[in-house]
Amino acid sequence: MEETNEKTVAELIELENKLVTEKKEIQDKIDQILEI
Amino acid sequence: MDTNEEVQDVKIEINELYSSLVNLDKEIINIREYIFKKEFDEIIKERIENLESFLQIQGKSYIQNDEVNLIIKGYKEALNKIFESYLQIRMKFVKNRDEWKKFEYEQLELLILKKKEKKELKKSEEYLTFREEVSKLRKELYRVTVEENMEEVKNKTEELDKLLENDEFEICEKIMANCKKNIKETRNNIRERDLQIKNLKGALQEDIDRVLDNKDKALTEVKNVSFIKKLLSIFTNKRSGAKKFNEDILNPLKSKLEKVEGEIISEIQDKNKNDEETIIQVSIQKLEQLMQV
Repeated sequence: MEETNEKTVAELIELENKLVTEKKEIQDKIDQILEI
Repeated sequence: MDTNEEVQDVKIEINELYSSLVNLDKEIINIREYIFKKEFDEIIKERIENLESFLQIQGKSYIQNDEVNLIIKGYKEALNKIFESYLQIRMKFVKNRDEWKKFEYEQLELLILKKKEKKELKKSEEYLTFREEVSKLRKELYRVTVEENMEEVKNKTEELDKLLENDEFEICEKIMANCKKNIKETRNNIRERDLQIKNLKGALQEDIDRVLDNKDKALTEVKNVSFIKKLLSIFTNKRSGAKKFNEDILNPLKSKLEKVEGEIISEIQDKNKNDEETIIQVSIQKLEQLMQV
């Protein structure tokens, strides 16, 4: 959170988008393994 | 590698993946919360600073500091109360989202377990015997059907139905299908909650604007006279400047603040409370229904 505190809103939105993409990739992987 | 090892490996992999997913999700939620707080802290700070500098320009030589400070303090407190109300509802939405997330994980665990059971069943002696019994009974049913022995057809059909009721493989399949359906339903609900959390931003922005827009609009809203007109009228009529400052600026701002404190804040708090109760209640009911199946 300390790192987050130092970032601007624009940087945080960029980071959020990056994490959302990463999350989607993992979710797809789980779905593929479990055939969801 | 036997079925057990294979399934164990899948479980480990899924657990690792899911743990990364949960961590990422938490991080995203924290970042979104931080952005929400930071953005609106800045907006409120800016609105108050604008009001402050506006009053300083307008009041210049005849500014009544105590009264002005009270007005600024009042608006600041009002905006913070509204912000707090949104933080509360946001927190409740996030909590509800977490409950769905927990249910999703339980369903994933159950899915892995049933997948394992299904694989083990396929190879088990017990299940092979069961399949043989089913096959034998089906042949008998076919025979009595050809013989048109209706009483035996009825008996054999009932016997077969009863036997199939205990088909562990089918039971596993049904549970797995239900888990998948629940996971999809859960994700829809999480998406819905995410959207509601996102929409709070627009609603809060609108409510802040209702209370204190930019310095021009704040006054035009109050007396329907433009900021420039007011500024000119004050500077061109210095003798009555203090009186005009009170009549045209401080009094309308005070009246509006009274309205904000007396009506608008509770209206916003009620609206949020109502949204919270309706949305969360419906969501909890849905979740409970899924849990019961």
